[in-house]
Amino acid sequence: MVVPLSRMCEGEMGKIRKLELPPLTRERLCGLGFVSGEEIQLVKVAPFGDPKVFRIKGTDITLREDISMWILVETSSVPLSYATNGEYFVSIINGGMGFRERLRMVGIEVGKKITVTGNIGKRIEINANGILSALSRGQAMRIIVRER
Amino acid sequence: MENHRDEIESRKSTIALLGNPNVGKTSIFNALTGSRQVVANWPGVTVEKRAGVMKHHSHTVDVVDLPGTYTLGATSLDEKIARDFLVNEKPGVAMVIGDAVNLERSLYLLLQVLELRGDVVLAVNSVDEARKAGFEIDKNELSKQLGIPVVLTSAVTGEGIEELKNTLVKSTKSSSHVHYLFSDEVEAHLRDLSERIRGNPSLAGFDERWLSIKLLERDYEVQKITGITLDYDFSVEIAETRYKYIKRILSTSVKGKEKIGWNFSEAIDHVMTHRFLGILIFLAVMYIIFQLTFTISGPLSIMIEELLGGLGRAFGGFIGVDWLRSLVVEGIIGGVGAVLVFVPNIFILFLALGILEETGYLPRAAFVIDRPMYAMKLSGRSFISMLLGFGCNVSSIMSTRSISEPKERIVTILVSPFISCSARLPVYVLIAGTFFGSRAGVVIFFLYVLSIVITVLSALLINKLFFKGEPSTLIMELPRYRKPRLSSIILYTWNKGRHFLEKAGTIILGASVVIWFLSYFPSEGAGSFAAIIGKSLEPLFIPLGYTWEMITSLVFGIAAKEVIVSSLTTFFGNLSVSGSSLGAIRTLITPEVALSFLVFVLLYVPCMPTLAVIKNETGSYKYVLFSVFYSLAVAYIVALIVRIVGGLL
Repeated sequence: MVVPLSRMCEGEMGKIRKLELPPLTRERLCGLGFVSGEEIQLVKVAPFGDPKVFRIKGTDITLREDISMWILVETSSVPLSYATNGEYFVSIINGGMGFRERLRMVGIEVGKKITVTGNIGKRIEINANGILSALSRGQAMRIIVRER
Repeated sequence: MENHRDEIESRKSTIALLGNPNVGKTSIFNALTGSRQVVANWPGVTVEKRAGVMKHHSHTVDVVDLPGTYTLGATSLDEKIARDFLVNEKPGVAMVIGDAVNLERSLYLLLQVLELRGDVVLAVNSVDEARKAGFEIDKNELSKQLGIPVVLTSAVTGEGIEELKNTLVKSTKSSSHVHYLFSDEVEAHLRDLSERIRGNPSLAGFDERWLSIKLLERDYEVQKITGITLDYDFSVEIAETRYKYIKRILSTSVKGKEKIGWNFSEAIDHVMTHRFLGILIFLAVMYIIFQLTFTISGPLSIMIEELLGGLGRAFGGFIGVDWLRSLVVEGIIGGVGAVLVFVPNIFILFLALGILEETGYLPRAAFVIDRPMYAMKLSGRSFISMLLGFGCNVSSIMSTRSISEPKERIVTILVSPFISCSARLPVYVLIAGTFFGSRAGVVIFFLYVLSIVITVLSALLINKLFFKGEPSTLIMELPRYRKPRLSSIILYTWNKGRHFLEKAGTIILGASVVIWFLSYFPSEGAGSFAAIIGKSLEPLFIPLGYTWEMITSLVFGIAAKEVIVSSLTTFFGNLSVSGSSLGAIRTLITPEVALSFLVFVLLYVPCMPTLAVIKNETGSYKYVLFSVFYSLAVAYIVALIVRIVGGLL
C-alpha cells in the first residue's frame, strides 16, 4: 500500500517510493538519504502533533507535515483505522500500559492475528480469536497492523 | 629529495575541511590548529569563516573550516560558500570529515567532492563510538575502493589525529573522479554535455564532467555559468546511483552490525522529546539557565563592583586636576565599570548555551517547540536563533544564516531585537532593584514575558506585511547526544563572551567618554550639553513622564544598551546593583514611570551593532529603517499603556 509519509504511525516502517517536491527541497532531502527504495521509520511525533521525526539511514530527521505529505512510501503495515475487512497481524501498539492491557483483554496483542469485520463510520469491529470488540477510530489509529 | 619537494608543495597549499553538520568537524579543526585560529567572515556574507594554521614537524599549512553541508548543491548559503571555495580557491587538499556511525551519508558528500576534484582525504571521525556500537571500519579497503587516503579518527580520544596530520602534509596525489559510472543513458548525456562545455573557452577552468553532472541535476548556478539549460532532469537517478555505489563500498569495508535495541541517545530522546515531558523539560531547562545566570553571577558581580570602587578611590586620590579626576573616576571607571559588573552574567549565559549546543539538546528544543513557532510562520530553527538573542541580538541575528528559507530568515532577523538581550539586563536590575526592591525579580520576569509576546506578535505582523503570511519549511537533523567536552565549551563561551568584553573596551569606553564630556561641559549637571539634548526631546516624552536624564540616557543607549546604565550612573551618582544607595532618581519619578521606562528600554531602537548586523545580513537599508521606526513606535505605545495602566493600579 502506498501512503504519504505523514500518514504513517509512530513506529511504522516503510520504503520510499517517490518525492513529489520542488527540486531544491528534493535535492536537500536526497543529501539526507531520501531516495526511492530507502527504508524509513516514523520514530516520534512532536508534543503538538507536528513535526515528526523520521529515521533514515540511521539518522533522525525532523520534517513537518507540509513536506512529509508529499513523500510517498510503500508500507505493508497500516493503522488499524485504515484497514479494510480482512485478516491482519498486529505489529505495533502505541500507548501506555493501560491501553495495552485493555486491548489484551479483547485478544489484541502484538504478534496476534486479528480480523477486521467492519470498518464503517466511527467504529472498527474486530474479531480477535473469537472475541468480538469494537474500537473507536482514535484507538484504532494507535494500532498498526500488517497485512497477511 | 622526495621529502623536500613535498614540504615546499604543502607549505603553499591550503587544506579545506568539509563535512556534514554534527560530525565533529569543528573538533577536528581545533585538534589540527590548536589555538592558532582566526575567526572572520566570508567575503560579502556574514557567515563565519574559521581559518587556522596547522604546524606539523617542519610543515606549516593553512586550514580553512568550510560550513557544514550535506551536499555540494547550492540549496543554502552554507552549501554555496563551501562549493564556491572549492571551485574558485582550489585548495591543495580537500579533507572530508565523515561520521563513522553514519558513513553512508558522509560518503554521499565525499562522492560529490570527488566528482569535482582530486587530492581528497577522508577522515572518518567518531570511530570510538562506532566500535562501541559494534562495527569495525576497514580503512585500507575503504581507501582502495575510493582511491584516496583514509584515516580513522576520534576527536574525543585523540585517536588518529597524528596520522591525519602526517597524511595531510604528504602531497596527496589522488585522481579526480571516483571509478563509478551512471546508467548508460546518463553517461551518454554526460559525454554530449562535456563535448559542448569543452567547446566553450570561458569554461576552461572548470571540470567538464562535474559541470555536466550538475547540469543533469538542474543546478541553477551551473546553468547560469554555462548558459546551458536542459529540459530533462536526472537528479533523482544520479542520487540513487551514488547511494548504490556507496552501499557497494560499505558492504566490503564495514563489518559488524549495529546493535539492535535501545541505545543511549534513544533512551534520552524518549524523555527529552516526550509528548508531555518534553515541554516540561524544555521549560525547566530555560528556567534553570536564567536561574544560573542570575544567582551564580550575583556574588561575582558584587566582587567586581567593589574592586572597581577601590580602583576609582585610588585614582581619585592622586589626580589633582578636577576635570581629569572626574573623567577617569566617573567617566571611564564608572561608565565602563557599570558594564563590566555584568561580565559574569554574560559568560554564564553563554556557558549554558554552549552546553546545550554541545550536547545536542538545542535541535530537540527546536523540535519540541516547532509547532507553536509554525503558528507564527516560523520554525523551531528560528526559535534557536531567538533563544541566542537572550544572550546577544548580534549573535542571534548572525546565527540565522543557517536558516535556509530566506523569508523566514528575514522575519527572524527583524524580530530578534525584541528578544531581551543580556545587555538590557543591567538596566532592569538597576531600575527594578531601585524601585521594586524584593519584587524586582517579578518585574524582570514580566519584562522577559513581554519581550516574548512582542516578538511573537511582530513575527506575525512582519510576515503578513512582507511575505503575505506564507509559512516556511523545516528539514532538520537531530544529532546524537554527545558528552559535552569542557575544552570546547570553554572555547565556545570565550569566543562568544569575548565580544562583550571587546564592546566594553571599544564602544562603551568611547561612549562613556563622550557621555562624560557631554554631561560635564559647559557646566556640570542641568547646564550640560547632555541636559540640552534631553530637554529638547522632553516635550515628546511628556505623556511617558521621563526626565531629561532618562531621555538622554536612552539616546546614548542606542550606541549599546549597557550605556544606559553608565549614563544614568553619571547623572544620578551612586546607583548600585545591590540597591544600597538609591540616588536621586527615586524622588523624581513614580514606580509606574520606572516600569514604563524599562518597557521602553526593552523595545526601543536596536543598538548600533545590531543595526549594523541587520544591514549586513539582509543587505538592505530598507530593513534597518523599518527596524528603527517600527521598534520606536512599538516601544512608545506599549510604554504608554504600561504607564497608564500602572497609574490606575
